[in-house]
Amino acid sequence: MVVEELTENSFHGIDIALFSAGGSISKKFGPLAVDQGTIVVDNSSAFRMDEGIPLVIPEVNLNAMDHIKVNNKKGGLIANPNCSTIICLMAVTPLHRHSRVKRMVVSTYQAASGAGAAAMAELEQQTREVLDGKPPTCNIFKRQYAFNLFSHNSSLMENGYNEEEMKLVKETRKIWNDPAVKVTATCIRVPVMRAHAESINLEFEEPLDEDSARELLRKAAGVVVVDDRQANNFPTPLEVSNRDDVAVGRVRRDISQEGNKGLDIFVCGDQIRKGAALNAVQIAEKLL
Amino acid sequence: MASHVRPVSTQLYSANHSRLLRGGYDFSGTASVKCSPHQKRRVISMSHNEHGPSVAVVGVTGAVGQEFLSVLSERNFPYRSMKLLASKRSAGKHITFEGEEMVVEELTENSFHGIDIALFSAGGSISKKFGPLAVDQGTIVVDNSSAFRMDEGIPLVIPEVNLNAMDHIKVNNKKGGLIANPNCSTIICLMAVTPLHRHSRVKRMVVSTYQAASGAGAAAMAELEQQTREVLDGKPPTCNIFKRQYAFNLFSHNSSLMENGYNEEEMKLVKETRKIWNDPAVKVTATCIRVPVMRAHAESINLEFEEPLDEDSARELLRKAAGVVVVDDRQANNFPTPLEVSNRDDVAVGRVRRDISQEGNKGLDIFVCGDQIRKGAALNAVQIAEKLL
Repeated sequence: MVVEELTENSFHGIDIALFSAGGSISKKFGPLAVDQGTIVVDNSSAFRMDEGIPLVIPEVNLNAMDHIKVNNKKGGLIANPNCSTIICLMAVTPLHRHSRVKRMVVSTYQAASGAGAAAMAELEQQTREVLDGKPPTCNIFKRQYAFNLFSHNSSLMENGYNEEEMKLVKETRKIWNDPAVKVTATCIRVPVMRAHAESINLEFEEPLDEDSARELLRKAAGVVVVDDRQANNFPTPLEVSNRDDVAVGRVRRDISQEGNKGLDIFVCGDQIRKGAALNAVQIAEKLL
Repeated sequence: MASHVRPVSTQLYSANHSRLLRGGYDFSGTASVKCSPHQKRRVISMSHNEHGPSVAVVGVTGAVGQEFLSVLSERNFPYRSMKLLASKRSAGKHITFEGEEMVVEELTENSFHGIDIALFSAGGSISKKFGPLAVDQGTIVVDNSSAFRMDEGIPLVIPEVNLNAMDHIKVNNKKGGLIANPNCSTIICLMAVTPLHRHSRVKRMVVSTYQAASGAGAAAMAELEQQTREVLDGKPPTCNIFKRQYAFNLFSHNSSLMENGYNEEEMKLVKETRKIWNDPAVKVTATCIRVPVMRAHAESINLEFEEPLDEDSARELLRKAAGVVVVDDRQANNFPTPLEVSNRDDVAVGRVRRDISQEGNKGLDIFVCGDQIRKGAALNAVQIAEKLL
């Protein structure tokens, strides 16, 4: 097959279009495609927070897109949430359904892939250079990324949070349809290739002990529990790379919270798969 | 065959290498340590002082042991004599300083005669075996291991935080004693948080760490480097120290898990914080993760205060705090990184902001980096030693 140039005429007779070409392309061509009767599944952040646009993780809030079907013969747009949001909510929602999450403190360990294929290539190139005693090439990131980590490169907002962190906060509220849920996040870029990790601290409205939590997670679709204390075996980005499931481990009662209303968990998910492509394709499947 | 102690290459780990794109760095302090890649000897100058204490360094060939020497040198520690101690395996190795070639001696029960101060960093078993022995012989031991940290009566000290805990121990008292150096992640955390805690008591702290290879020793740093080369060449990674691939990967800290599901590293942060702050009620939770960086830890810290503390006041308190530097430029997106804090004394703090998930002004989020081998270990220990004089 030959790759064609994207133009305004590209969507004639197209039922479903999966977009992942950046926000500007989505803004320019998304609505255009919708007008021509296409259902757009958009991986960019362009429309995620727009009122009326479903922001969907199929295992979490499928109902939000119930009204959009290919058979309706009508265009529409569904937004794919941000990678860190998807990975987080895949793990936390099964617990949230059981006992509402009041507050969530998230610290992320985000892979190079989140910044694109060129970013993964730059990390590899820099690593080779640094090992050879040469200066690292910094085109995508303004600093050395090899053997280093840094606060996410997205812009800072007035409140001191960067865009990546505010996405997690806002998208969680929209997806859970819970504007009151308290979320704080610190997003950090680490030198791994394609899977994100997240350290998540949870405060629940009602008690939820760690054993019950583990059971809920074992039964959860798209989630695998990797929680072996004896073997010290827990989720890692490498082991979750190229896999569909989001892995959860280190599930334990938070000793800093009273009673049984707090949990700490550690989550890993392939940023390109469930964090983006897989989730979008799953949405597309539900359009049929 | 005289073997020279070969320092782990600083190329990958030093912030002040010319390779770094950011502006030039000055090596803090008057360092006369020369350490270029491939150089096999370290030239260290110190301040020999007739009236100073006799010093012993236990575990001198390890990452922290080597750093003890650098730090003692840079800070012109006034030693009267210096004894370098290590295992039988390392005995006989040569370390050159001030033009003087010294021989590493084997650590034995007789090693502490006439030693005023001994800096230990050779693991918990060595500390347990030789620490009390040295104390009985009148030595003041500064122990970097976890062996005695939580013992009642043993001061657990970060000089900028709780110096008073060691007030009763001085070289001039002519009596042995033992002071414990806290765990690296504890030191880095409390250096940044204590200035705030002093202003408004911290009720609860949620910490997620990004811990460097150095925390597991020089061999761990070497293994990370080796694995990275192997993985880039498409070969299987050598896993001696860590049971899994570490290159381009991260994982829950390799320390043992406790009954409560926390690992030892996390419980150290919880318990040591309570002891150092003398606040058994402070609520702390931590998740400790090993990441593929060389020698500096990073920590994402969420704080809940008893009284309001806004981010601007917090930043001011941190700017004034000893041993802390604020790196908090939102416009330039410039915040602490492990690389830039490597080989530096100060702990860097940034991303200081009001926590939007807490009511009012009683919550803050911060991001902290500190060189694990320096302030996280060797520097803190030498600072303790300085306070013994």
